[in-house]
Amino acid sequence: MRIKTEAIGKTFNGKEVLKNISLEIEENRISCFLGPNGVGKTTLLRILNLLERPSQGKIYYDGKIYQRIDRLSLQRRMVLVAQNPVMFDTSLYHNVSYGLRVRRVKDTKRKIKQALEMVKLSGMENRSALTLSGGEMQRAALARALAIEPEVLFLDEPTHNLDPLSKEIIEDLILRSKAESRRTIVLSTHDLLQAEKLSHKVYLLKEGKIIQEGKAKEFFAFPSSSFSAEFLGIENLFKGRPIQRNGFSFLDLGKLKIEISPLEKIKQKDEVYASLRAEEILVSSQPLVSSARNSFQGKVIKMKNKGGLVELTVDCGIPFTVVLTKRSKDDLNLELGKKVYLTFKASAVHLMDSG
Amino acid sequence: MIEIVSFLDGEVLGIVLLSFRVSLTAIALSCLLSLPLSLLLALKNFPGRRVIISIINSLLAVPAVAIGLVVYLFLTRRSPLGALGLLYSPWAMIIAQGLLAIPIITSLALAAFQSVSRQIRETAITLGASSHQFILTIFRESRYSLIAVLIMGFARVIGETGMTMMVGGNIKGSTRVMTTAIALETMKGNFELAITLGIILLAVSLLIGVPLQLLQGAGKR
Repeated sequence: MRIKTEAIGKTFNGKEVLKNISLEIEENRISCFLGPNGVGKTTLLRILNLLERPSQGKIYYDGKIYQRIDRLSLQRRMVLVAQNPVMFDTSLYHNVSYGLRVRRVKDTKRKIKQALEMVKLSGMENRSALTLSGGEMQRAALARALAIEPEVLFLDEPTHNLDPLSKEIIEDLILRSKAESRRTIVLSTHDLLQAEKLSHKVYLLKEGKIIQEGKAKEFFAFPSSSFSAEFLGIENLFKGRPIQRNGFSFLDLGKLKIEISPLEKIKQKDEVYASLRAEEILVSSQPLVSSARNSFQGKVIKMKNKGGLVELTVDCGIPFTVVLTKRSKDDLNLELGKKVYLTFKASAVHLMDSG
Repeated sequence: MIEIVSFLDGEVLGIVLLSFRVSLTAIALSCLLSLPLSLLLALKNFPGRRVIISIINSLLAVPAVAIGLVVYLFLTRRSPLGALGLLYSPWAMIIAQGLLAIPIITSLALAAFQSVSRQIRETAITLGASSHQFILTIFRESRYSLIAVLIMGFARVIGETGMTMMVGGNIKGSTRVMTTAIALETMKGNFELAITLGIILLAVSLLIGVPLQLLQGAGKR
C-alpha cells in the first residue's frame, strides 16, 4: 500500500507537535523516522495508522484520501507495534491469534506457529502473556502483528530498552524484510546507526518537522550542521578510508589515522563514515599509558560551558570534540592554546555500514 | 439440629428461592442500563459526561429506605403507576433493588472499564477489531473486575431489608424473602426459623465471597 501525506500537522492542547509533514512512504521498502525523544515520531506513526487524527493536512492510501475509505478495511491492512507494547490478559497463543480471529481468518494454527518461530518464542504458546519479560513481550507483539501478514507494518522504537538477544532477533527480522523487499515497514528510532542499518530511507525529524530525508550516512556529509551535535548526541563525525595493516584496522582520515575495531572484510576503495562520542575521549596533560589504542597530541582551540560540563575542541590535525566536568578542567589547568593528549579505544569508533 | 433441619421444608425453600429470583432479576435488569452506560462513560468523552458521573456517585449515598419510599409512592394505588398493581408484589421488590443496584454497578463497572488501559484499547484497534469486537475485548479484559462488580451488587441487594419490606410487604408465600422473614421471625421470637434463614443468608454471603477472593487473586497476576 502506498501512503502519502500532504502537509499534515498535529496540535495537542495548543502545542504543535507535528508541522507540515509531507512524505511518500515507498511500497515494499523500509522507511525510518529518526530523531530524539519528543520530536513527534510516535505521533506521526499513530497518525499514519489512523490511531490519531491529524489537525491539518491530508493522508492518501493508494491515492485515495482516508476519509473516503472504509476505516475498518483500511485499518486491517496495516498494524502498529507500540514502543512499550501491551498484551491481552490471556495466553501468548491467544494474543498472537487476535488479529486473525477478528478477521475470521482460517488456518490460524499454522500462521501463529510461523509467527512465533520468527520471533523465537515457540513452545511458550500456553504461557500467560502478562508474565513475559520485556524483551519477550516486544517479540510477542511483533509476532502478533506479523501473524496478520499486514501490507504495512509500523514499528515504534522496536528495540528500545531491550536485552541484546531480543534486539538481535528483532533487527534480524527487519533486516530479512529489508533484503526481501516484500513488505512496507515504517519504523522510528533515535539511533542513527540503527536507522542506517535497518532502513532504505531515513526521515530526520526535529521539533515536529522533517529537516532532512535520504540515506542516514548521507547526513554525515554535513557534519557542520548543528543537528549532528545536539540532535543525535554524536559530536565527532568522520569520513575516511578503512585500511588494514599487520592485522590491525585503521581509518585513514587524511591527516590522521585512527585505529578501529578489527574489520572482517574491507573494501579498499570504500569511503565510510564513523562516529565517536565526546564522552568516550579521555583528556590528559601527559601521554597516557593505557590499553586504549588511540592517543593523539593536540591543542585546545575552543572551550564552551555547557551546564556543569565543558566542551572542548581540540585540534589534532583534525578537530575533536571532548566533554569533561568543570572540576577536571580546573585540575588539568586547561586554557586555550594548551597542549593536551586525547585517548580513546578503537572500539569507541563506530563505523557506518556503507552497504 | 434436627429441629432446624426440619425447617428446610417447602416454606423455607420457597423463601430462599424467591430471594434469589428477586435479587438476580434486579441485578440482571440494572445491568441492562448500567453496563452500556458505564461503557459509554469509560470510552467516550462527551459534554455532560462529568456531570453524569458526579450524579451517579451522589446516588451511591442515597439510603435504601429513601429508594423504598420513592418506589412505594410511585406504585401505591393512587399514584400514576398504581393501576399496574405492582405494590406488594415481587416486581415491586425487583424495581426497588434494581434502582438500588444501578448506581453501584454503574460506578464500579466504570472503574473496571477504565482500568483497561488506553494501550490495550489501541492494540485492539490497530490489530483490526471492529466496534463490537472492540467492546467484547474490553469486557474480556475487565472480566475479573466485572464479575466482582456483579457479586458485590448482588450481595448488597439480597441483604437489603427495610426497603424490601416497604415495597414487598413481607407477605407469606408471595413476597417474603430471607431478610424480611428473619426480621419478622426474630421479632415474633420464632428463633428457629430466623436462625435457619440467617445461616443460609450467611452461607450465601460467605460463598459469594470465595469466588470474589479468588477472582481478585487472579486479577492481580
